[in-house]
Amino acid sequence: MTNGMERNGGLAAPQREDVLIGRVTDGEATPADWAELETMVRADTTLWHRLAECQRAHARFEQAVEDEIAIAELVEAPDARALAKVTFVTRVRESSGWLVAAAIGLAWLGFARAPGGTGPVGPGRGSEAGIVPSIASLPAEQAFEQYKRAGLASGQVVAELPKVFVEIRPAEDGDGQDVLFVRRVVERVRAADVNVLDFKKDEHGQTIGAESKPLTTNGAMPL
Amino acid sequence: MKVLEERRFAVGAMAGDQEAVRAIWHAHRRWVAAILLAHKPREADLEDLLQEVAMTLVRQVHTLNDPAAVRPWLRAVALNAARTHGRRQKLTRKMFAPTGMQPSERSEAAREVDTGRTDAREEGRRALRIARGLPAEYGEPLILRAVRGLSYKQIADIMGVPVTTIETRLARARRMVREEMLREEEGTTAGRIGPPGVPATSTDDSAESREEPL
Repeated sequence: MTNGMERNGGLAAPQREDVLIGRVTDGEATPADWAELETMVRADTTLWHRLAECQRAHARFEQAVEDEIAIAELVEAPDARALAKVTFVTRVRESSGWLVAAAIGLAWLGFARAPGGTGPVGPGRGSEAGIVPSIASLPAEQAFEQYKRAGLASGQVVAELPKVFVEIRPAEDGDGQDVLFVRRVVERVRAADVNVLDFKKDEHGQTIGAESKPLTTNGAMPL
Repeated sequence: MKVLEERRFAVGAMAGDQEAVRAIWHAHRRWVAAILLAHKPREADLEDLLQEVAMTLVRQVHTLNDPAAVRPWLRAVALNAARTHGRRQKLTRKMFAPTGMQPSERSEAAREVDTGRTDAREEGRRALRIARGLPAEYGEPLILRAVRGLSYKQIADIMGVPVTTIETRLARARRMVREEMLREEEGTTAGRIGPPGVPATSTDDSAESREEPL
């Protein structure tokens, strides 16, 4: 027996009193464990001191761990549907690039403004109806928040993506700095038919023209 | 959460019930955080890793076949999240800082020992830092045991080992932490921490060793 560890086939095994002290400290001790520990204490009274030390150390360790993991209480499981939508946007961006995504957007704008277009989903028609009139008198930040709330409620707004930093430059009035960033809001429209722009390129990769084509999919992954 | 209730939520989550998924996450997220804490590289952000695990739960819980397997499966997801991050961090370190402990890590350890702070909270943090440096099979159960409400049986279920193994590892781990704290207080430079006869492994090394099956 050496300093709290017993050798067992080359691997140090904990002493019996270490296991018992651990059980008491962790609230796992049975009456039999207590009886066994008390018997040991009669032969070695320093075990009470070791037990007290172990409990004190455990309480402090427990507090340190609880401090670290407290953040978990603030992390919620994302909604599966919102996650799927954000994933879709990411896949579009990653697989096709902003150019194609922008092309789709442009094509949609042409469609949405054309006579007979069904326009945005939900009540009203996009930001011209249902949202803007009620927020016109608000400061920009509050108006934006209200736009998002109303958009989420109607189904027009899907998610807001993290802001994209552009630059920091001195304020024109000399008071501090202006931080420029892009706000990105994912919106949704429902369309009966969508045209996409197919860019034609020459051998140098330069765009030489674009052709509008109807988008034909089975609804799985259009890009 | 009681066992039967946990099973009911697991079955619901596997069938696509979003409320059940949320209930599972609420019931388990604290010990998932403890697993991540035990395995993540020091620089990794715990909140980011938790979000990664939560997203995997939402996306893949339906692929589970056994509602009783939620705990070990979540542990595997957490380990993979920490290890994937560990591999990325290790690559970065190889590129930019080829040797040893990160400067901030080293100064933190030195400061704690040098100033000899005995404040209870500091002592707890120091013990946690040492526990995170233990071989994973010792550090993980020790950190899990510090999550209030987790019994030996529950830790054994999560880690997929017998309760007696958990007890043995806890006793060893506590002794290792105690001895390392003493060594630090005496001012000796500690090498890699590990029990006699057991090869020590660092978190980052184990991060590269294997991927947990999901």
